[in-house]
Amino acid sequence: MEKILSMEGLSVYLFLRLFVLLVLGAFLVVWLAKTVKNRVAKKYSAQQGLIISKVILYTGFSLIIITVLRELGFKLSTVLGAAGIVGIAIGFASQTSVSNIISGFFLIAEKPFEVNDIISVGGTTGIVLSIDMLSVKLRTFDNKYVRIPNETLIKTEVTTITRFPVRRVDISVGIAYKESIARAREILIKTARDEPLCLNEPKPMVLVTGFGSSSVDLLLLAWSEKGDWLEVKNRLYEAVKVRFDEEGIEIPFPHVSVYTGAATNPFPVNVKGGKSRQQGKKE
Amino acid sequence: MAIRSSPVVHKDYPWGVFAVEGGTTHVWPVGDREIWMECKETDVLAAVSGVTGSEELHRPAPGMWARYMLKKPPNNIHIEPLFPDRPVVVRPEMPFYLTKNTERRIYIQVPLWFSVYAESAEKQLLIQEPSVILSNTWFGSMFAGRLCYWVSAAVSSRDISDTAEPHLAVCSLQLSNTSRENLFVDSLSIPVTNAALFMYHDRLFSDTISIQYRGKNEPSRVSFSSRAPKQYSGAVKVQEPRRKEKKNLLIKSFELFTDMQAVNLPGKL
Repeated sequence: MEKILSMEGLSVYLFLRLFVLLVLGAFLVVWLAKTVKNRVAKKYSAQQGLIISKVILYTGFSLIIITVLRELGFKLSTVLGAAGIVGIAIGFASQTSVSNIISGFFLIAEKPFEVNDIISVGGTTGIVLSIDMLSVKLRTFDNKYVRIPNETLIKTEVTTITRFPVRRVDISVGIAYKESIARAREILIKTARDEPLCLNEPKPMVLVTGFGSSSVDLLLLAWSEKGDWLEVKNRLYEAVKVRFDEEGIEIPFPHVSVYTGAATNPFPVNVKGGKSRQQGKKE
Repeated sequence: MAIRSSPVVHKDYPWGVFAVEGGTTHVWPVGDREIWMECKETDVLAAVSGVTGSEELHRPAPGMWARYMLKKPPNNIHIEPLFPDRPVVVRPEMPFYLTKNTERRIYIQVPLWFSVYAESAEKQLLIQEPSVILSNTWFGSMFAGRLCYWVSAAVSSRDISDTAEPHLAVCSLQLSNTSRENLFVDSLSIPVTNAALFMYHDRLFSDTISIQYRGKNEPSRVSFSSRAPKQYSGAVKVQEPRRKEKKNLLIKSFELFTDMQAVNLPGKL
């Protein structure tokens, strides 16, 4: 009877120990990971905070699980041996996952982008939410959650849009062939200069990019701080339209001129049921 | 909410403490902008209208007004000047050389910001905005640098505080070239965020900012005197620096943009 009671007492004691170990241990690990994450993110970067917090979480929980198993009487060597055999089996079955994990290490070491950067991969552009062991998570601008495997990121071209502090805003605009390119250039430069969010240095400039089917094509190259890029682009397009309208500079839409025989003679037009006349000739 | 009563316009001088009565509209033109304000019991309606450039008042559009709910009805409105929230880059109208081992004091006018406080149970900050909308500029390389405001101003070698308008502060800069080469100054970054603001006979000016050029590959040494220049003994400090942490800085101050040749090629080239 005494033996049974002592066994029961032991079980209750063991249960309490395991409960405290699990609950308190988990609480401590989560608290430590969160605190370190916030501090590191504040002092260094959000990505470094995320990595360190994950290392603490994985290590902490592994230690808790090992301790719990030992308390339950499992021999660590046996568990690890079994885990090794199972690991080999799983390893063969999960080559892709392993490849993703190794790619994840390369991504972390190489740092082509960080958490909160805007990246473009294939046809997807979004803000990096997290860089995890297997994948990178993005939030696109139309608020979709995209998971990209790390292996894909290592294999394909990735553009980090927000890597450098300033970005160029390209505004393409066409002017009619009759307009003065010099005048249009002057107006475009002034439009960029008048926009407060547009940087004065590096200086804006205008390139003539070609003679199009309906217009002389110009490209205004202005600069903005990376956070203002979209705002500046939008404002500049609007401002260019307004300024060209004010100055009477035509932005032509695509059109086709049809001639009969000679380039200079206008096309004769006959209006049925009305007066017949030729354009360009006095009636 | 649009205010339709006839406003009291404080045209002469925008800075100071102004008594306000409930139901009256007050307007303070500051630089290119106008601060509009009306107190209605414990609520304050406030707005800042855009660039004026004319004598007429520019009543802000209904959507521009903001309502501030206070503990008690405000007795006074404080309008205080302060330096911009970023360094300014000044391009002198005429670039100049500072020869080696030369020291020179120059004066530059910088447009200020304004802070509007309502004084009721305590002083509450309502608005903090620039008196002149300055355009942005970048100071540094394509990889690193800092966002600044662009100021195109006359650089004077004599004190110009007597000609300054109320919304402008005069920065007195002590430039020195301790390098072995002549320094060509066509633009200058001034970290006004670290400068204090002083008032003397209604004129505003910074503490003396010393910028020491030490050579092409060395950052400039910038220091702030933290007290009014000698000629203004008895001046009152009206604003502490926005950034107090550094009294001495090592920053690039003279080199505007180093890689200009590479920046404007189209991306596909």
